[in-house]
Amino acid sequence: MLEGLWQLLFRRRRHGQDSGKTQTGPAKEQISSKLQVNYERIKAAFGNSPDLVLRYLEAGDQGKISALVVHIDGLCDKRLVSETVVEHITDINHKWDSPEQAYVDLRDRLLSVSGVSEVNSLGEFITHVASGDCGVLVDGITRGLACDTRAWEHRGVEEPTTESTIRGTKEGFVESLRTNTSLLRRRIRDPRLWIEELKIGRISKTSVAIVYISGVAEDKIVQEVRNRLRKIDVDSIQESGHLEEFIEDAPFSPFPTILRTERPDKVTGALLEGRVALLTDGTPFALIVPATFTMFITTPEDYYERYFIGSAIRLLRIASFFISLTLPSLYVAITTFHQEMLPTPLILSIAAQREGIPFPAVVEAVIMELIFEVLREAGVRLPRLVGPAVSIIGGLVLGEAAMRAGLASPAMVMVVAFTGIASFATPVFSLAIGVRLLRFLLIALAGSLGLFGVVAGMFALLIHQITLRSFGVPYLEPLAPVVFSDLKDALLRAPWWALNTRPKFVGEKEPTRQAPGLRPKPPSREEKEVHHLEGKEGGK
Amino acid sequence: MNKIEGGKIPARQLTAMLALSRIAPFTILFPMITGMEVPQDAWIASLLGMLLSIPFALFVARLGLRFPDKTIIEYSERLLGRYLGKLVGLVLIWYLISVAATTTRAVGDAYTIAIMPETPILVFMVVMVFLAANAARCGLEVVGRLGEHSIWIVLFFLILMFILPFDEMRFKNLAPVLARGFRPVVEPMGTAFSFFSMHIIVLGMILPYLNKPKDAARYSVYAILISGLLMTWLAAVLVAVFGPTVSGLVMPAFSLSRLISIANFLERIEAITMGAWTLSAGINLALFLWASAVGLAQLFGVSRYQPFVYPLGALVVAFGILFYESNVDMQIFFEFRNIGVFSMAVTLGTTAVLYLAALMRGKPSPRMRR
Amino acid sequence: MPVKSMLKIVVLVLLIGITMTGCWNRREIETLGFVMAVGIDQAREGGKIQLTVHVAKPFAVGGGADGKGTMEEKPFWVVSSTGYTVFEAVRNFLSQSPRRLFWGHNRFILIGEEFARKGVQDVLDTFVRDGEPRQRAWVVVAKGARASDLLQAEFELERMPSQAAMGIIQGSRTGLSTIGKSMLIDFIQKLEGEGIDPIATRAEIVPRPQKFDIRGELKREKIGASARITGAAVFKDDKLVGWLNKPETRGFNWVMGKVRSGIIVIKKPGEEDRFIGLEILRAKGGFKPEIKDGRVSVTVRVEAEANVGDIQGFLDPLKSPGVWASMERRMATVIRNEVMAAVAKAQELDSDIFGFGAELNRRNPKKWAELKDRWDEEFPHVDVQVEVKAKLRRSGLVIRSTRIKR
Repeated sequence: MLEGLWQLLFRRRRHGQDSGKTQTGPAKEQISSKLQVNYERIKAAFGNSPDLVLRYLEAGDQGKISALVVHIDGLCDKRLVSETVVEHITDINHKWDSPEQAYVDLRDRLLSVSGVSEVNSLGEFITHVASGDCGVLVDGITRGLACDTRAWEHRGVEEPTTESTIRGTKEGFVESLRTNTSLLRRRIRDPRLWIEELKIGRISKTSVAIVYISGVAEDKIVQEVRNRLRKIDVDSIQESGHLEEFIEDAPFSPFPTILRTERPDKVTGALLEGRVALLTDGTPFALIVPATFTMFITTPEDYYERYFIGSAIRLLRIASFFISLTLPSLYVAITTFHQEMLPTPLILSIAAQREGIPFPAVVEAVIMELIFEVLREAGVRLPRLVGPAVSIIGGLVLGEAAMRAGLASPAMVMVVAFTGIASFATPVFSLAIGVRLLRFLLIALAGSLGLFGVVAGMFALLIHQITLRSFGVPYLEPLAPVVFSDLKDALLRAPWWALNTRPKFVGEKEPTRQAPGLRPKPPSREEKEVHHLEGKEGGK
Repeated sequence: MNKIEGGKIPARQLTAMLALSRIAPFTILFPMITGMEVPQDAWIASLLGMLLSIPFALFVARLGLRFPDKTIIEYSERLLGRYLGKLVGLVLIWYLISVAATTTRAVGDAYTIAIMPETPILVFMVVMVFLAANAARCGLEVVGRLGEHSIWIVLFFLILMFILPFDEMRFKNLAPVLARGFRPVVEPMGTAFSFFSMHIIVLGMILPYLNKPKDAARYSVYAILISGLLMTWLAAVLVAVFGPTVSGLVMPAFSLSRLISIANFLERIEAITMGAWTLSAGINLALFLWASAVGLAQLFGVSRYQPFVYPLGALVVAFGILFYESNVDMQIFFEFRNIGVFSMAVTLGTTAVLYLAALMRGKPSPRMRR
Repeated sequence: MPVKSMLKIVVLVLLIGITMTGCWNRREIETLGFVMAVGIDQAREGGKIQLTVHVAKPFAVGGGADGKGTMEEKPFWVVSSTGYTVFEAVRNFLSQSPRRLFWGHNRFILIGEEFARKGVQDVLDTFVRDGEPRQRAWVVVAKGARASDLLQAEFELERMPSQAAMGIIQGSRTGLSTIGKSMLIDFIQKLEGEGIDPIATRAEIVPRPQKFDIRGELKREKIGASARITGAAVFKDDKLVGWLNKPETRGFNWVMGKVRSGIIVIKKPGEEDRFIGLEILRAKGGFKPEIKDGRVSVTVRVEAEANVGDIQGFLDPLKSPGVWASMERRMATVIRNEVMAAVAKAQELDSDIFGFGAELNRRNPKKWAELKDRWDEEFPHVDVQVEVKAKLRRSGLVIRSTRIKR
């Protein structure tokens, strides 16, 4: 099964593999032995930007050796630069005879920063400087040193705003990649948590980290992630969503095939299942691949609350997903094609409400949905304090006014409002937004072909979803193809002590995740007696 | 291993697809109950028809297992020679298309008779065939998963129909059993057998694409049992609810769902259950389109089957329109003397000829199989 | 592949959406006239069928948020049309009604007595054949009236007469057991079934005095007539042959095991001018036909439990020991009389409404095959035995009646 699957995957990818270039690095210019030349070149490279700090220093006791310290103001810890770099270079106690000696001494001993790396080309040197390192060049040496003095203003770790839970960690990812990896390291304290970092973007040179647990994650998937990332040849990556579009499997699908989250616990959960996470510098949103459909309707809370509550909430969420997808179209289909389906008093009441409304129900539905979408979008864009006011007042006033003006029936307003609320229950925004678009298609189908249209539309969606794959894993994984061992954590969540195995497609390398038979039981009578005796003896 | 279809499916999906393909015509039309002389024995006809089709499934699987890496089209050419083999292949493909056309027409009729009489039947047929063709083009894996996924939905609605009209069910309607002996049951049983065995011929196409071809026999028997027992029970429920009038109903299961009300909120859910039956018919169609397209590609020695799917789909719609003048026409065709002869001549006839040829040639040596 | 198919789906959806919106079967809900009940009569013109329908006026029912419906307006409209077939008559409504009639919510098929006596098969066909009408509509026969007259009747408490009639039927079925339950689907089945004849529900017009002395405002136009729904109409094949009155209908329901509740009034033991009301709690009924020496005999078994509902005068079962058993005996007698009355009426009309023949067929198909052709002659002579087990379970909150001091 998997072989066929991978075959399919690679057949699709093969033609692209050799064309994938390695990252286009900066110019392969060598570092000149003349410090003056380097100075000019660096200055020119940054175009005289005022935040570039270049400083000649006279090194050692004799002052014959000159050195150049380069860093960017605002990206470095200035105190660190002066205390650990500048101070040591200019220390007159050093007896240096040659630049070579000074350079080696600096590199191996004196620069008291933890991370010092040696670079050979000027381009690389400049890249380091641009990323916040403090660069040191010594006159006459064609190599340079980059000291890790990075420190810049960033947001502290806060509660994730887009995915809040009642129970669970209150930490969310931030814009700094290092902080984010540390959040993961703190949760998985095992050397097998491997992080590979690469820079993407010709100009932006954004750091992207591939995070996985070695020995748990499927090698093929990790390799596939690497391949796809390496092929990206763009000028910049602004956000992980930018990255997502370059590596996703189905770019034309309304369904997202990559999960994004700003919750570290969600990421570690996925890592432990054998998935791969991508962290992008500059955004709190991490990407998780491969993502299956059920992952988009689960929240970490499902796993923290007790299992039947978790299961019930998850079922409710699935129900609201379907409501947000189909309710308006079902309403349109039933009221314009299948009036026999509703009980008589209800149908009479709806008919009375529709009395005098000039549009067909389809048009009414589309208009009301559009109004609702605009309201929601406005609510998101406005300043945080005004946003809710606009949504609430807009919703109330517009809905009421539309009814009074005879443009919409109260039942339709209710349907649309409920649909909107149901769509908020979808935990992942990227899925919810895709569903919003599909809803309009279904309304059109319902308006033309009734329930047959809705069924045809849902059938088409089902076919589409079944053909989808995320990094080789079927999108509807435990549902189609049915994987019985994974159904325990799909529509329902089984208790933790029953979740003994990892998902089939991603966790086959190390399928067992915990010892069997962990179900808690009250101690049996013998055990009790033993404890009792032990207690007595201990008391003696 | 040929390259026309790359995927392999687990036998479980075979069960789902075959079961759905059988459930579809029964839930939409229940072919043999209409016009039955002694309708209260319909369940016996259904049960016997199902039992009869089990040996046939085993037979087709056995034939297929002689060439576990070849479809029925391929080995018929090998067994019967180039021209005769191709002829048999063509007959089989034509048969698959006609069955698909009948299913499509039945669904279209169901919608135009009862739910949306003013909409042209072509709309329903084209939309359905188009969707099924898309699924078929995505390969057997997709169709298999579709089947595996949808069977739960279809089963849910079937069970709903078994439970909800409980108030109307009077199982004493089933008595007297076999009041007029076996004679009136024989022909409906033949019809039931034709419908149960109709889909087994697809097994000849799917078998080489199974993960373990050896499972084919077992899992197709599961499919027969699942669908057969459900349909037997459905026949019993229909008689329990409708009594003697059931033999006058064009779409008994549909009429049954008209009686259902869910908690006084949804009164007549026929349009919804019809949706579920449409789903099963869609998967039936997808499977048949896939099988006939792959068969055609193999017949002509083409390396891809996908280009054949849409033309075949168009053919299915055209046949569906042309075959039957009216739904009465279709019901007449469903009588045993028509469909039984047609279906048995093709399915039993071809497989028997192939099996005899295989016997005469003896078991192929391992080298020949390659 | 997914890309391509996705695009195709989008194109398909757009095509469908653009080309098909606004045609074929789309019927906006406000363009429909919801038929609540239909009456079928013989038209005055020869050979034609007159159809009278009750169409709901949704705006007058008052569903709107701001209560658009006014209480003064009748929430329904009664209109007739004629045609040679029912289907034609239905279409002919289009010349009178601005809204297309929708039959999906029709609850009642009302048949005038005159028409019912001639046979109803011809008119019921379209209700079964067409996709719209409900199969659970009640088949009702208007006793001594035309269906169109009965449809003019109005009820209090409910705005929609069909809703009111449903309420009455539900109440009578569960509280009185004096309704012959007959929905379209049952009726058709009994028409076709061997050894069983259909019944229908009976409805009568109750004229109301024009002068009202009821307190309170009467805003609607004066109610001219109301209707009472009780009893059953007995058919022989598809022709009406007679009626079952209330006790007979309950007798019929006893046999069929359909009695759910009801009041049995017995004479008070020892004080024959006073009565005792017993409330039926639960009842079981059934029958078993047998053939002995070529003669068909049927044993009807009824088991009933009841509570004491009220006692006139004074009675203390503790002081008069035999009285409880005697009440039970009297209860059994009432039940037996009701059953016998129903059987006698059916035999008199020669209509096997109980399905004795059908049951015989189930138990003994061979004998039935011989008997089938002369069942009409046989049925009136079927010997019916009734066995009743009556139990009085509870006395209520007082064990004896209030004793008036002397």
